[in-house]
Amino acid sequence: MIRRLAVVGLLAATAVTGTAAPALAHGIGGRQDLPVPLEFFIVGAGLAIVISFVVVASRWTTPRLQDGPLDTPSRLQFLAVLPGVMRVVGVLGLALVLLGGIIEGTVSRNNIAPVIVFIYFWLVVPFLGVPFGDLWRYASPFRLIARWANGDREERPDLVADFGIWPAAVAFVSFTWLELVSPDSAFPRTLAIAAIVYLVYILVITAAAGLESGLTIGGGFERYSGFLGRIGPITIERDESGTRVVHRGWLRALPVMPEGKGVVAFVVAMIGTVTYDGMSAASWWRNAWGDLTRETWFETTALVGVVAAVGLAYLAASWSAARLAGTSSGMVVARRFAHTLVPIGFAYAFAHYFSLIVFEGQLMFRAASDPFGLGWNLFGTASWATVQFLPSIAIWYVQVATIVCGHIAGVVLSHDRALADFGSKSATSSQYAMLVLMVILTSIGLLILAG
Amino acid sequence: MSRPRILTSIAVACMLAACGGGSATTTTAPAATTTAATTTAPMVIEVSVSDGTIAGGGDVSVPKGTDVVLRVTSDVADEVHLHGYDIAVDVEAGETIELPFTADREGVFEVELEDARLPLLEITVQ
Repeated sequence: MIRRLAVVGLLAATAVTGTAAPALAHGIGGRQDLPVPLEFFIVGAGLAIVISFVVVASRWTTPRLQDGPLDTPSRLQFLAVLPGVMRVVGVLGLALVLLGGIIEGTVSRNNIAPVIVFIYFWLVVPFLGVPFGDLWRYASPFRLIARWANGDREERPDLVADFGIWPAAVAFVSFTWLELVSPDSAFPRTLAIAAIVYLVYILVITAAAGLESGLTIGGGFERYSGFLGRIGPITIERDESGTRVVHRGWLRALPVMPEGKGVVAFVVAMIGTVTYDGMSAASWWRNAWGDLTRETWFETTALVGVVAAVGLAYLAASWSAARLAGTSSGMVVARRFAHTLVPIGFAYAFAHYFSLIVFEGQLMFRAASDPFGLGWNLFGTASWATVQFLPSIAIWYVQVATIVCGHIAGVVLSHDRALADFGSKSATSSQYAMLVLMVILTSIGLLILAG
Repeated sequence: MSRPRILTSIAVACMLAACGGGSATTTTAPAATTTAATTTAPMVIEVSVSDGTIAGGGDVSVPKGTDVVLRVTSDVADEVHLHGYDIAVDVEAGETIELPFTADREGVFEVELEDARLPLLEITVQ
């Protein structure tokens, strides 16, 4: 099974020999939002600072979110249809991406593969995890195939303890490299090959560690969607007895998130990669670096460098918090507070890609009717143009509101964890380090939007 | 309190995006374009490329609704691509092509010599 897939992958890889041809800027699209005006930035940053101090100085003096999800039945049981729907969507999506890559190599326009991969798979499905709980675990055709191939393998929790989720973090950053740096990122064939490579990788890792353990260790998209899926109030559980929609309560699933190796690296990467995307599109960045910004090695270095810088800032804040609280080591604090960065990571990504979803997401109408650029018109929508139905001011409001809400969630989670770990006395002082970090991250998030 | 509401509105926005694409085609764009089209001559932006260096262009700012003609001269055969509006015109070596469009979408749009992956200019529409 694995061997056959690897052969297919290699054949496909050799078929795409370095033909220079078009690429859409940054995966897809090539349109950037107008910069957020200064007053939006000032109000957003000001709100973030004020709210931070309100939370810290409030009468919130005992931990409230540390006991985990409420796990009561939700009133929204009709959402139990989602897993079944997502599974069909996932299998169909993978089939279309592979077909798209077989039929068309290097012309991204009029091909459904870049639209599916860069908008629906990479943005819409993980973001839907916030209102509905992680849906990728139901949509993932990779999990489905891995369960069919390796479902009977013995689970290896010892390997999870050894490796943590470091391989998943590396897989995640590798995909952002494909999206943001690779010059061939929007080629249908590149995406088909990437899908095959990821499938082979998932099959190997689940063969070695068992299905759930393997996906925990190595599943970059599985972890990403899983983290975002912990923010919102509900989740959909499915087992032999059926499908249930469970009410968890806002943010309650985050403090009980696993804290193994690589979790800090992963959440830092979530923030760092979006920061790099925003920076590299800003005019000051291109003015500062000139023609270097078109060199793949430079972009690769910059991507890794920005992620590393966010990581160092977080470790510095964790170390300061540990000093101020006078208790545990910086690394322990870093692990204990990693979950507080998840809403900030989501807010960064959502603010950054919101307009891409609502505008370039419409490319799906065209692509559905003519998925492979063969002149078909299956649903009569092949010539639908993208409509910019939201004015820039609406986009700015959404962007700034998202960043500020992500900040509030981060501060609340951090305050609650500090109360739980350090007790109410040293909690207040120990929080200042994290608070400063979060205000800085929020300001950077807004600054990037301000171009 | 505000967080659930925000996320509800995000969900609503996504749904609007999903179902609004078709019906909205006639609502927003033409209103802005017709007024400008009848009153003003198109704005011409000229760029030429030779030996991989770009003359003219630079970053241009255009008011929303303006009719624009992008005039591109290239010493190599390639394709001129206006991203975001997704309009592409082939250019032969030594030829000058015109790429007309109505600037009815706000944002920052890149114009690229596609095969050479050479960004020619950025057009800001606001």
